Order: sequence, then C-alpha cells, then structure tokens
Amino acid sequence: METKRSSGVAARSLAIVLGLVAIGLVALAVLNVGGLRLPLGALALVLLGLAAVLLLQPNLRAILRVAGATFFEARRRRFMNVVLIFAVILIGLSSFFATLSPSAELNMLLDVGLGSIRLCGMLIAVFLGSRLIADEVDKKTVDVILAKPVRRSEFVIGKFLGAWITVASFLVVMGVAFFVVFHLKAPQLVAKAQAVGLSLSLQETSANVLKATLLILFEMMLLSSIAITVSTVASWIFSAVLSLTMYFAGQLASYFHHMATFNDPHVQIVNPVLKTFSWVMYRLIPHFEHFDIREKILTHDPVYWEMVGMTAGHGVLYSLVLVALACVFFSYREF
Amino acid sequence: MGEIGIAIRTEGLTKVYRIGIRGTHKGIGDLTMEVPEGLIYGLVGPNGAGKTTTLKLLLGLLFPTAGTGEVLGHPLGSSEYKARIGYVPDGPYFYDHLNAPELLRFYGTLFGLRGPALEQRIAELLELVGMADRAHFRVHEYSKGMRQRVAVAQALLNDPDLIFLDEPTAGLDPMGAIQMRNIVLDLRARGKTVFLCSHLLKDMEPMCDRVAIVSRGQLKLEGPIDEVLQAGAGYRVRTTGLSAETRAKVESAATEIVGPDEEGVVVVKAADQRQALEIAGLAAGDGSEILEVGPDRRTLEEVFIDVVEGQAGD
Ligand SMILES: Nc1ncnc2c1ncn2[C@@H]1O[C@H](COP(=O)(O)OP(=O)(O)OP(=O)(O)O)[C@@H](O)[C@H]1O
Ligand SMILES: [Mg+2]
Repeated sequence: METKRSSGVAARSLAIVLGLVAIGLVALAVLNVGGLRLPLGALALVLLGLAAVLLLQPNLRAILRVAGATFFEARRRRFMNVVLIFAVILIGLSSFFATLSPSAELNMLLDVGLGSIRLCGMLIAVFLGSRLIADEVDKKTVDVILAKPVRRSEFVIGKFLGAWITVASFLVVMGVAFFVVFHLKAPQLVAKAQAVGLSLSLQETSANVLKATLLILFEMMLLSSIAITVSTVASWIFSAVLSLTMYFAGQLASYFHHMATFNDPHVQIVNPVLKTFSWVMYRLIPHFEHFDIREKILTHDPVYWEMVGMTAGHGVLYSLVLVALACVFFSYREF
Repeated sequence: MGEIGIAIRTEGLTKVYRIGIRGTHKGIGDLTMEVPEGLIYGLVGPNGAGKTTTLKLLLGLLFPTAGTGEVLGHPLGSSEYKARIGYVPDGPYFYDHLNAPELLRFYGTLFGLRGPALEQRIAELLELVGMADRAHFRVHEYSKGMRQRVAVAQALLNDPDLIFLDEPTAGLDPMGAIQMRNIVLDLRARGKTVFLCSHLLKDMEPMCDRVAIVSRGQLKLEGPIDEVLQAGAGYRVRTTGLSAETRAKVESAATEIVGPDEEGVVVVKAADQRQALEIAGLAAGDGSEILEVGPDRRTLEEVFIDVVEGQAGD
C-alpha cells in the first residue's frame, strides 16, 4: 500500500514538472525563439503527452489488446479485402498504358498508380474508421468490454491505434505492389527519356514515389481519425458521409485560403459571409490538398523532405486532437 | 469486521430515456435497494420492467438521470470495481471470428491475466460451462445456448466477487439450466454475491435468497424469498378426486377451497397444521388422493402475478 501511494505521488509530481516545462516550451515556441517554433512545439507536445500518461496511468496493455483485436478483426472484413484486391489490380493496370513518349508514359504510371493507392486508401480509411466503434455498439460487444477494467478512453485510444495500424498495413501492401510495378517499368522508360535528351533521374523519381506513398499513409490515418471521431457521436453512415465531405473540402484548402484573404480594394465581389465561411473552413478542415504531391512530381517540382515532414506532422497533430475529442465524446455515450 | 457488507447500494436511482427530441420514457424510477454480500439476489419483473436498465446503470453503461449508487463501495461507473465483477449480458454477442479460447484470452488480458495461469483458467472455465469439447468452434457457429455458456465463462475469468447475470437461463437446455444453477450456487458457497435478472420465475425461485419485483420501472416488493413467498402462516392440502360430499365435510375446517383446476387438483387451505391434517385425514378416508400437506407457501409466480396485476388499475 505504502509503496503504491508514494509512487503515485512521485508520478504526479513528475507530471506537474513535465507540464510546467511544456508550458514554458509552448511560450518559447510562440515567441519563436531561435526560429525553433516547430521543434519546441513538438517537444512541448511530447512532454504534455508524457505528463498525461503519468497522471492518468492508462492501462497500456489493455489499449494494445484492443488495438490488436481491432487490427485482426479489420483484416477479416470482406470490404477491406475487396478494396485491396481492386487496388492491386489498378496498380497492375497502371503499367499497361502505352503512349508515344516515354516521359508521358512514366507520368501515366505515376499518376494512375499513386491515384489508385490514394483512392483505395481513402475508401478503406473512411469505411473502416466510421464502422469500427459503430459495429461494437451495434453488436453490443462494447458492453462486455466496458464492464471489464478498461476505461472508455482506453477503449477509444485502442480503437484509434488499431485503425492506424490497419490503414498503415494496407497502404504498405499497396505501396509495395506499386513499387514492384514501378521498378519493373520505370528503368526502361527513364533510360528512353534520357536517350532523347530529357533530364530524368530514376533515383529521384523513386524517392518521390516513397514520399508520395508516405504522405498518403499519414493522410489516410488522419482521415480514419476523422471518421472514428464523428462515429462516436453519430451513426456510421453520417460519419462516412461527413468524413468524405471533409476530405473533398480539404482538397480545396488553398481555394478557401484565397477566398478568406481576398483583399483587392478594386474588386468588391466577395461578400463577407462567404469570406468568413472560407476562413472557418480553412482553419477547421485539415489541408488534405497538401498530402497530394502527384502534381509536383509530374511537373518535376522539387519535393523536399522538410515539406513531407511538416505535412505529416500536421496530420499527426490533427489526429491527436481528434483522439482527445473522441475520448471526450465517447465518455458521454450510453449503451 | 464480521458484519455483513453491502455489495450494491442504490438510492433513488432513476433512468429516463430520451426518445427523439422531446419524448421521454422511464426505464427505472426511484430505485432504492441494498444487496448484502454473499447472497443470490434476484431482480424479477415482466418484459420492459427495467431490469436490464438497472443492470446497465450498475455497470456504468448508462448514466442515471437521478439518484446515486455504489457497487463494492465505489460510485457507479467508476473503473475501480470493474476488476472485481463479472457480467453476463442478455443475448450476448462476441467477436464472431474468434473461437472460445481466443475470446477468453482476449478478455483475460483485459484483466491483466497472462501466460500459463490464463491458459489454465480458460481450460477450467470451458470445462465448467461444458464447452471444452466444442472450444474450436468459432463464435458465429455457436447456438444461442453455446454463446450463453461462453458468456458465463467470460464473466468468471477474474473469479469475481460480484457477478451480474441478465437472463442467464434464457436459451439454455434443461441440462444447461441445471449447470447454470450449480455454478450460481457454487459461487454463493464461496462467499460471492450474485445479482440475477430474469422473468423465468421457475428458474429463479429455488436459487434466490432475496428477490425484488419490479414492474414498469417501479420496485413493487423486496425481501428475503421466504418472507415474500410465505404470505400467511396457513397450511394447505392438495388433493385430487375430492367428491362433493367430502368437500362439504371438510368445508368447516377449511379457510378456503380453491379448484378443481384443469387437472382436477383441489387446494384446501387451513388455519394451522392440526386442521390441515384433519382435512387430509377426512379426504383420504373418502378415497381422495393426497398430493401434499404443508405450509401454504405461494410460488414466486403467484406472488409475481398478484404484484404485477395489482397495479393494472393504476
Ligand atoms: N435505449 C432505450 N431507449 C429508450 N427506451 C428504452 C431503451 N432501453 C430500454 N428502454 C425502455 O425502458 C424500459 C425498461 O427496459 P429494460 O430493457 O430495462 O427492461 P427489462 O426488464 O430488461 O425487460 P426484458 O425482460 O424484456 O429484458 C422498457 O419500457 C423499454 O422500452
Ligand atoms: Mg432485459
């Protein structure tokens, strides 16, 4: 008893210290000390996470078990496997487009291949995410779990983890399939293009494929997080529709940004309601647009790792906020 | 120390369901009760009486609209008592793609059980609920009764101090019902508390130490089973083949004569044992068959019908 209590006090004091340090870091990040806004912010977030873990002392094993069960259950869903097979077929087909110029053919391969991964990833993320918790509630399997020593938040976090693992594993399979197709086809195309004097590098294109696939992975983790979070308060159909809507609205992020900041004194066509709406949309909806770098790859714009990291970080942060929201929503649910 | 603890305590526990935007529907109203430790406590009532609602409130699956409660000394819904309870839901559902040992392994790890201890526990429990030979079946291949058995095994994983069972004998064959009763009686013998909800009164009567009858969301009657069933201190004689003359003869000693029912059984009630024996002697002398002489203890079903019908007017 004694040791348990004293370790509890130690954990709490440590959590408070970590929390205070994190607040300090947030202040430094806001002041942008040394131009280190992002690393400082990220470090603060990690410390806050640690503090939360120490304070709430979640049952990590229970979380992992729920995540594992979710993954194994998801892998058996027929819908998921149908989409996966469909994706692999599409990726295979992407190598059959023959056009006149080798560089156009290479672009076709990249466009169709990455596009298929993105489309199928989206379907998997939306439909898996919106059904995960809804199915547990419909089938009443959640009743038995919540009667066990598993907190509601632990259940929700486990579901998120399980969904992310599942989405990631499906994307890895699709990514590997595309990489195989790409490496069967691309070297000849690049060689032919180089022969006619185009400056194309196989290495750079391969790196771009990797970057694009990674970004799709983070994008779909974020999309599945949206679907899960909405499904904690609404039916799975509503959740699927809303996540898809947000996904497509997120493709228009720069349009909303443009509308929100449109400020030409000579033109007065933008009404204030539309402007505010655009601003809200721009601030609220994740910028899915930035996860799609196909355009950049096809037009040979450079894609920097920093940019990939920033975009992925945006996705992770947004997802973590959604996890917290979902935990709060779920704590009010009745079964 | 030495005092009997209270496993469950509720005070004015109320659940009003919200239906649509403005509609409401009472699930259970103003329920105040105490369940002592170490007993088999039966919550009985017709369909829609509020039994499952009460259970879900106690498990923290629903939040009370009003009132409070405690389970094993902790407030409702707290995760503190979850490690010490078991729950067998009504019409249980599980992950379809798992078989019974996989399912039990999953739930077992949620209790922090692991390794050989967990495997041994799983084997014991499958044996206990009579599923050892069908363990490899996947849950979606199970019959209702088989699922019910797995549900019981799942609820016993942590050797709970308090177990909640919602309609535990629903879907079980006669052997299954007997096994279930033995499991429940064994739990009590080991000092555990059992909280049963059911409308299967014939299964409940021989098991329960205390019963509460609820109807339309209201607690109607509560107490030790003997008090609930023993309405008066009278005696009764059950006979068949009672002729009209004999009936007239025993009338003076009887307080009430009921029947004959469709099987020809007549119940003659008497104020005390001496008169009951006198009636039995008279009837037997005239050639009637005596089925039973004993205290006039009503069945739970009779009490239940009285209580539930008694409110028909209100
Ligand atoms: N989710 C819900 N929303 C609205 N009303 C509900 C809900 N669940 C139960 N009710 C209502 O609450 C009342 C009590 O239901 P409850 O399920 O507790 O009954 P029960 O005693 O368990 O019945 P049964 O013997 O059929 O299992 C019923 O009138 C029912 O219609
Ligand atoms: Mg019920």
